[in-house]
Amino acid sequence: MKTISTMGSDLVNTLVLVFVSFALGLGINRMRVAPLSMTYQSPEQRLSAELAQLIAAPPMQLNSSDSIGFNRFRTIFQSGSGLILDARDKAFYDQGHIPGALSLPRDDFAASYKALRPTLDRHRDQPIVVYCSGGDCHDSRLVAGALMSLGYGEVRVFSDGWQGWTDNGMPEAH
Amino acid sequence: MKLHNWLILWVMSVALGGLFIYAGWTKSLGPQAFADSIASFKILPAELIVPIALSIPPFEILAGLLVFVGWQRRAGLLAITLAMAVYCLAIGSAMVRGLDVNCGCFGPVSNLRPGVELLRDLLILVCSVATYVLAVTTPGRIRSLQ
Repeated sequence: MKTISTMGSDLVNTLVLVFVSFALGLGINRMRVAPLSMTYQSPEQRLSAELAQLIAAPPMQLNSSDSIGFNRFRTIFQSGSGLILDARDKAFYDQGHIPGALSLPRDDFAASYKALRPTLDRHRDQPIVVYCSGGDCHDSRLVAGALMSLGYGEVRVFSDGWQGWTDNGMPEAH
Repeated sequence: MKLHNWLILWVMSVALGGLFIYAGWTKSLGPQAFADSIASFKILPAELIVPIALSIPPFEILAGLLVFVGWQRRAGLLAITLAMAVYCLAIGSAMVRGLDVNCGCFGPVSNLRPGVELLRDLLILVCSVATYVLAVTTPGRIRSLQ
């Protein structure tokens, strides 16, 4: 009987914790520089909306030949013959990224693209390789597709991503 | 209740509390990425995805802190247990439906197969249930040491 009463009071405290967390989560979001919209939009919808600010064209779809594996990417990295872009959130880029890579996060594409545009235009005739977390992440494909829509010709996706890079013991920049 | 029971409770609380603080912190770094992870499960309507994605990181951090620090430890352990049960059900349901999901449990970097994630979460669930039972049956520190 005492155990049931204990569990009951624990459950009440847990419910209080749920409500406090809910209020805290919404409050913190309101204080963010770019608060999340309360209605969810898929990555494709968000990027399309951002692209619409830049150009009046839908994002291009990539095919498998637009992806490169670890060995080809390492060659580009070591020769410095291409521009490397990190499509993950800026917070994860700040935690660690491929040396020399520039941050072009999918979730802040329009603003970041505008800031990076002079650099991107200087590399218009060189390979531009985009990566994200690795595995089945979509950010790199979406950003690469957006760059193709914007007229950049040789855009590739490093399919192994950050996970593949670190798994192979390659250097990291912070 | 004996000293070794209190020691087990303390070690498990530090481990579970620390794990949840870390998990909540990694989720709070990328709320949009976490919302995308929740959406990939195709369980919640679009109106609930963002509020829940914003609430889970503080929930995990607060629950972890309660368990770690020891104030309202049982409530924190119950919160962790209920959360883990929900996560296991969500991953299991996604596996049954053949969905390609990223659980976002420790941030967006996760190359674990859903089956491995489910096993990991089931292990944490078992640990949290056991720790909660131990916390209910173990009196406070001072009384236990007397």
